[in-house]
Amino acid sequence: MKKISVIAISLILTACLAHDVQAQLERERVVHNRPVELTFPTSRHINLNTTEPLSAGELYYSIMHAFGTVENGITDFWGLDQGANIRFSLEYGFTDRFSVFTARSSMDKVYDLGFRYLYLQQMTGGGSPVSAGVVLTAGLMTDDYSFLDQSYSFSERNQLSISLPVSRKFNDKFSLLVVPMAAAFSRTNPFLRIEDPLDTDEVFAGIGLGSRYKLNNRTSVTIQYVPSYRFENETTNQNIALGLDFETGGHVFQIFFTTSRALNDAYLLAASNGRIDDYAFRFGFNINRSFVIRE
Amino acid sequence: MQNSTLFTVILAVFFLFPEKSDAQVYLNTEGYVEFISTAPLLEFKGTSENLAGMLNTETGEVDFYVDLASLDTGNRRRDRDMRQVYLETDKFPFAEFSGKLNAPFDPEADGEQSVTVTGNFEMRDISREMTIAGTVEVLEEGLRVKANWQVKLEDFNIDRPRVVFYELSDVQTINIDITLYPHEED
Repeated sequence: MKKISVIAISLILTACLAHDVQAQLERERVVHNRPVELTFPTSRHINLNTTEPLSAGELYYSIMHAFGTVENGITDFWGLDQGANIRFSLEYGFTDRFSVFTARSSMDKVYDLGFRYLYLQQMTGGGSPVSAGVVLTAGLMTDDYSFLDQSYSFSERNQLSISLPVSRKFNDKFSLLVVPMAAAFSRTNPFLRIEDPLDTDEVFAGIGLGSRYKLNNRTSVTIQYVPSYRFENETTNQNIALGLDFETGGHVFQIFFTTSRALNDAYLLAASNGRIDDYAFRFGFNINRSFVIRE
Repeated sequence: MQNSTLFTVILAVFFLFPEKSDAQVYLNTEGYVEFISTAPLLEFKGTSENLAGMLNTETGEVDFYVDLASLDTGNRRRDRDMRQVYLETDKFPFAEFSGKLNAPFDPEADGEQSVTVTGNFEMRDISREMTIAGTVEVLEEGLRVKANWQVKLEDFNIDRPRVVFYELSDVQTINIDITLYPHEED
């Protein structure tokens, strides 16, 4: 009998509590597992491609700059008087994972055409621990090379590069990017911007590393390291860059110091890099802007 | 001893199986809510079909909340900016309102009846008291509740971009439309 009383009293208390709970609904999340977002604020991390895809109907415009080296100090205003390599690019998202871009870099007057595809997406509640994508770019050098006593045919001006960015957002502040990359040129030359002393290398490969650490909701410290290997010369070229990202809603500004004048993937692997201890690094900045042009 | 046990059991049965003639608590978890942002260059709205709501006709208590991560603005880029930059939905998942009807409504009347509720609207752990005007319509299957009000993002410490472009309006209009069904306790 005592047992029945205890059970009955428990039921009463439960019933009373149930009545109390009705004063407010129990808060329950309805979205438990969704893609990890803004691992990097934009599709570029200094020079490296990220896994950040465009959304369907998004037009993404970026303008990238890398000025001259700072080693001459105020004489040429830390490289700004030397002019900049400038790369404009326009990219359009056809789906939430696939976009196509075109670009033009002033160094060697290179026109690029390529696509970006995100094939793996890091999830918040289980699933893939990383995001991964592929960026394939075909380029055409259009400089007349009038300073060379050589002529370049159309088929000698081509370049192809592939980037395979893999990223993980570890927490709200820290994200890491690893980008296996390769580039092939139809013709190189030791007198051009592509560092090839033996005039034989046409294939370059490397693994780009990048990370960002958020200082606050809108500002991040960024770092980039791209060692690239020249197969014939058997040398390794090293690109290092350090910068800051500023997000202003719609725009992402990126300022940085880098050892290379290169801005596109192929040149990032193939072009020469200065040594930091010789002050042969450069100021650069990117402006990234997104527009929603199709709802 | 036996009598008191019997009394307790009867009391338990009374609490567990209350009279069901008049439903007092009305609930639903699939109501509609929209947040409309009207900026000079851009108007868009975030919508969700996951508004949860409760109205207690006996006490006049009302309670609504939505998982802000379920808001959809129709563009993935905007959605992720909204979740990650403005609302920070991982840290502050819900927008919620809890309050009381200022006057009861007539459960026998046809059509929409105007009501006001006073309570607290909470987002990002910041609570603001407000009085909201809305309507209640008595339907055969339940109560249809509609309301709209405005909130200022700066009141909720939302980091709206103030440099270069004003894409997001500081004043957000919130509309809700939800049919609440009688809740029968088990």
